[in-house]
Amino acid sequence: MVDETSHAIEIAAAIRTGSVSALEVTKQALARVNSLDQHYNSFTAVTADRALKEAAAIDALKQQGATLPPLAGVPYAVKNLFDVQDLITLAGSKINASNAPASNDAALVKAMQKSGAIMLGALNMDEYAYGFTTENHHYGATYNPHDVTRSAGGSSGGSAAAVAAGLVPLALGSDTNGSVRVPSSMCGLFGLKPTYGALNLDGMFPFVHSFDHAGLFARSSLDLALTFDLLQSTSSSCLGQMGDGVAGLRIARAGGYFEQCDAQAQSAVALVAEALQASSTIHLPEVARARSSAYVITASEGGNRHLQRLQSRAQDFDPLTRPRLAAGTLVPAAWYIQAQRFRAWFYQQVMQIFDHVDIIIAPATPCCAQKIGQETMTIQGVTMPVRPNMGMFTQPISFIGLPVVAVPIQKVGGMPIAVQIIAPPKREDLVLRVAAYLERSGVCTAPVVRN
Amino acid sequence: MSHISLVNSSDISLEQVEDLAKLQSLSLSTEDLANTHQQFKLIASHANLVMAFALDETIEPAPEFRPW
Repeated sequence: MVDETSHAIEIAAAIRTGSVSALEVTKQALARVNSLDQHYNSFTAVTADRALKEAAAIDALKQQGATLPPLAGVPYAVKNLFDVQDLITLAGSKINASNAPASNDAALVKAMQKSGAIMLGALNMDEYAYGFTTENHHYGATYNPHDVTRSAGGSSGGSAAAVAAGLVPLALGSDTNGSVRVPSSMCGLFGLKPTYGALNLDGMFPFVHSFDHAGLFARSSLDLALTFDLLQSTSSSCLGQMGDGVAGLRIARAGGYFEQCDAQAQSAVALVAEALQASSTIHLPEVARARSSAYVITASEGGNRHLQRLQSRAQDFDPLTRPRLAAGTLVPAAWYIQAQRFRAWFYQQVMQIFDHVDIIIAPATPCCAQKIGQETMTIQGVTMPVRPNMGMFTQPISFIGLPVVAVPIQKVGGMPIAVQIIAPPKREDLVLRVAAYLERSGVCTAPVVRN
Repeated sequence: MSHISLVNSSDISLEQVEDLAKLQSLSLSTEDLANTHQQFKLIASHANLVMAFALDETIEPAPEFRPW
């Protein structure tokens, strides 16, 4: 039985055994998007013709007796900054809407197609990925399936909402400062931001070269592991290690800076720490300065990327994005270079900590999803703007490119929140293994929710 | 060692931001200029923290950073 709650691995297995066809699964998924997405505004384009063709091709392979690829017949969708052949790559902007449609698929879309997955369409995001709330002036806000008065997080908010609402079991997004991990936290999903450089970014509209990562959303850690294995360029496998448990792993929680969160976020970290028997606390040095460095580099690289568009079409930018990018164009070189030098220093310091621990756990966000349009939030008595500060715990980690899985902690009758599981570079196997353990033990779950 | 202090970010004036914007050939409306001024002061407050840190001169920037 395959339905909207099925995980990608379960759907692929059902199609492989012939209990359901790829075409049936695809038609059901398209019908769900058609009838339900009006509540969430997660899709900006639906590629129904392409999906039906790809599904028919999978069924034809099955009829021929061929071995089906690992994600055969699994519906998925992508943040609209990925090139999808014959679609305009909006990157959440009005300006890009006047571009020609993409002539080719992005590298990761090609890899998904090669793996047998079925492309359902493109998903909403903050304009040019500069935001943590997916309150898009041009294409509307994406609404959180747990509570449609609240943000889905951003900038990959459409990706998260589509998976949380059970419209697709998998979605691709991008994460520059937290754009996979923040919406994973807001929507209660498993989200993977791999090591910087681990996934091919060809055909993705860029934001900040120094920090841009591709990432994944799913409702199970096994789906994340299988999909990451298929998308990465090396032959190593994470999926095969998912049952190894956490015995022998040295796990510590991050203290100091990472304790500046509300009671729900603190409880989520404590729950994960208890489940992992992580009794020690480590202190990453100068985390606030790492976050500030990421802020300066993001502003400068992001502003520079859009300078020509700001000069010629300033009024066509989202009013939330325009002043942030304009301010970024004014950053003096000395600030940018010092921030890049600090980045090298911070990386060296954190690598020394990884001599003593294998995994660091930290909150993903300072609080759960806030109301759409809300300007400020108060954390431990300090009132701060919502939009830049939802990433205060994710920015210092992507600053040095470490792999992270955001694992969701659900709250009965309330909003979910996620915890970051962080490992040294290229150790996606470790973060996925820990996520799988937490999922098996029932601590972390990601059910379909449609409130 | 580099250990540099900036002016207090709250001292950055609207006029300074307007001049910097002109250097980038940016023409901003009154409202956009005011919002850009606020955003620039926020960036400057982060830059203050970064610039105030004493980094050894041997540490090079990592613009093409790869963590392996």
